[in-house]
Amino acid sequence: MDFLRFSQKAAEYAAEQNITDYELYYQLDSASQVSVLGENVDRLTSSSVEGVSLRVIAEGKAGAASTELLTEAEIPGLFARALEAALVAEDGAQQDIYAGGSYRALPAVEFPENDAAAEQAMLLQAEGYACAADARVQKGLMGAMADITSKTAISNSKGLYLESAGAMTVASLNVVAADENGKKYNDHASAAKASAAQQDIEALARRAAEKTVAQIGASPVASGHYPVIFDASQMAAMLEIFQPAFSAQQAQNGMSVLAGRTGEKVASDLVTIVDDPFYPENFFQSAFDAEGVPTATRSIIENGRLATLLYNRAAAAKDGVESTGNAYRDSYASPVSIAPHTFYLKPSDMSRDALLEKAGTAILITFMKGAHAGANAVSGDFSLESKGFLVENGKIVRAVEEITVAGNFFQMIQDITAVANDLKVNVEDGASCCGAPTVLVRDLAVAGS
Amino acid sequence: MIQTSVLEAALETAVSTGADYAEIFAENTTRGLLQYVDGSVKDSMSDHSVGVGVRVFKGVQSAYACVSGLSPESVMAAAKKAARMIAAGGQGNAERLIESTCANISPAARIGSSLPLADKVALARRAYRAAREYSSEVSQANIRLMDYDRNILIATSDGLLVGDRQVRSRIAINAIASAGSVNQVGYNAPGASKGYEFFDEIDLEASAKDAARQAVTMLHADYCPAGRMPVAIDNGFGGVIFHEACGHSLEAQAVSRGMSEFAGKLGQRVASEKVTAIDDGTIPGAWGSVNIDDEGTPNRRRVLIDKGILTSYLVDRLNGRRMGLETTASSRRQDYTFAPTSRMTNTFLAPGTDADEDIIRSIDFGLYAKKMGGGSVNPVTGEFNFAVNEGYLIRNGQICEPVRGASLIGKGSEVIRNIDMVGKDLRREQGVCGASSGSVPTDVGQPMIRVSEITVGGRK
Repeated sequence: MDFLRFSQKAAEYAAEQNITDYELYYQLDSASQVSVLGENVDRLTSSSVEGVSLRVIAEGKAGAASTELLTEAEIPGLFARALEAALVAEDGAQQDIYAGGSYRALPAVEFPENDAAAEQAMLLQAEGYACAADARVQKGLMGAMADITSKTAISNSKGLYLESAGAMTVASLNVVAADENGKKYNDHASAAKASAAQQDIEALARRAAEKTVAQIGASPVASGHYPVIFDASQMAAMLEIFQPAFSAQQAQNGMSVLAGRTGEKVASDLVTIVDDPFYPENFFQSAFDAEGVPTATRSIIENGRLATLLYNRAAAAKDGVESTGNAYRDSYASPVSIAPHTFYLKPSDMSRDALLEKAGTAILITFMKGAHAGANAVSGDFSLESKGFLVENGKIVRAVEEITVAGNFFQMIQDITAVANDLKVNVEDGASCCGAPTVLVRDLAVAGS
Repeated sequence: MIQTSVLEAALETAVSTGADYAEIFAENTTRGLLQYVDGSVKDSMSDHSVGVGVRVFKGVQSAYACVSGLSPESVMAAAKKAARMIAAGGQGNAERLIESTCANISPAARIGSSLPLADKVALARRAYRAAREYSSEVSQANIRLMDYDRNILIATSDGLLVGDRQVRSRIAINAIASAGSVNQVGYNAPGASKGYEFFDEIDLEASAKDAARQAVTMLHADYCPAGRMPVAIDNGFGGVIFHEACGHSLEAQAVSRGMSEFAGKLGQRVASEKVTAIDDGTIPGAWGSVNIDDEGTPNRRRVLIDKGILTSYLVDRLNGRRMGLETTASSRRQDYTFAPTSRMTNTFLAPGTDADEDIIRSIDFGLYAKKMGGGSVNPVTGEFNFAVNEGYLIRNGQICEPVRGASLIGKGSEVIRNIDMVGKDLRREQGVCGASSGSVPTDVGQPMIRVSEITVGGRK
């Protein structure tokens, strides 16, 4: 049955059982994807996965349980599991069900009619475009295009019913190039658009090819300390890695070095970080968060000063403040946590070229890997496999590989000495994503030869 | 889980547009998660994940359709969708299903979903207290207790019908030590293909105290120097070096597309004679073991590298077609929302003949990596990285002061050639490996090894 009917059946059951305080959270994720290998279709996939999470309040304590079976028979067991969880809950804050607020009106989402055959045809040309861009590009390009839609809904015992939806098409191309000695280089490019028709595969193939062949001839630099320039994409990745430190929940649990520092200077004057639920290029804008609280645009760091942490309702109750509308669920089955919407470092008016010139000699980082292990949001420490370019006299002189860049994020944001104007947001990451322009950091440790 | 007549009808439908092979994967899984932080239960979730995926092949081309739910309508909807996507012309053939059974190498006694939540809280609290009581510098502990009861059924157009129940339990212990604005973390996460009886078999308090010890040790450590040097990597999670530097690059998913630096090297020497690497899905009760893989093939032990010679890839049915190789029962997926592909199970370097003391004594200046974190790799170029969670400098053959913040990077094919000493004491530890078919439980393992030279990503 659909969610609306399921929630009506759940309401009937709750009434029979005298369960007065509960909330249902629903998510439906659909995707259809075509993957190619060179000039052949490799794989087609289609998925439609839905689930419901139930949160029940019993004796002032909350418990949760979830299921992918939207049937009447599933309802009693779902309530029983959530009630059992409520009885062992010990989290100090008094829990209740949210009655709703005043929500920004967003334009209705249009679900594009994507043409699977046209998408296939487009992708099958990608290898040709990439090979034409540079003779060193190898046959066997891997490409994929995925049409993704997501719907969420909240229904609770206070009569609140909210729905939100979004859709996008993500294309990604993976290119391998080889130098005259047969040494292989590999990179990819991806783009998220509102529909498949808006994808420009030729431009994407050219970009993937350019990024890949630019690495040819790369070698390490000598180990030491260097000024480091993070390309926009890599600075966005740094924000992605360390955004958990901005969660009030993490701070309350002693797992963020930003705990108790609201109002203090935590970064360079050049750093302003904004969280925007209505960022125009994000295809999953929402007027409410995972608890139904209205969302709003706000500065998190303003000119280097920590303006606020991010809150959901439980963390806000503990600190005696209002929720910032940042309750988040990784999936319907995940507990409610805290995450930003579109979280980005505000650009300046300095061009990227001017930033390179200001740097003089530096390492420009265009690729980092291994963040799930080599970086820790609790300590801020990172040491990451990296690639990029050596910059001398403000110009790129050669490619660099097999190095690590290491430091501490919370020191690094104090050491930012320039911010460029080339903001890039990783909107393909979905509802919770990060963005940044290219930045210059005074000093970081580089391990190489 | 699903009536045989429904499965047979769905397989008929799946091959009706010309597919030469069809497979139904149905799943009914319960998952429990209890998070205990700051002296109290923070979250508890119990999830019921139910769905079906239908996969069809036409030569080396494949299509996969999955939907939530296990009703006959859900199964048929997925079969129709898969058939429509592959639409290659003609009519395939589906055999009558003959049910087979698989031996259960990992019987479980106390299944998480049938235990009182209060018992789980008591268990998490024990780990929490042990970590906090280790030292006044331990400022927080984050305990996550997880259990999985995965029931799967696989039916194929070859007539195979087989089911399996895969039960797992694990506790992840994060300890945080703080001084001023500096936080350091320590981590242990023992797990097994067992029920909650597993927690009676291990020393939970010792594991929690060890996580706390790591955090406190690192709080007082200076940063690791950067540069190329010899490294001694201890047993247990140290095995992540083989998992990243080599294991992923032996997966047919990469090899069959020429996207691996080990493609075309079967039978060739790829490592020193001291290196024998094994992927074994048949170790009773081990975290990465499965009775059958996610294509229904009974699991086995695979010798990947035998005394330095590459002897086997990790092969699933589909990529095996591209390579002209039989499956090695290596097909895995997180759940029904993923099509399966070639993955590792319990992967480890076999014991060698060197004494640990001799390995340390052989290094004039280098790093002793006692506790490793996770890592990742690009199989095309072999470039990999992994984190050192607890390291010490070695000077003149002696283990000296602790150092923090290091990672190790290199190229897989070069690094495995640089493994020139292998100890005797094999130990495995548990991890979760992420790739295109989702996150799957895997063991990594090794005895202590020496890597003669590798880039250490330190900060000094």
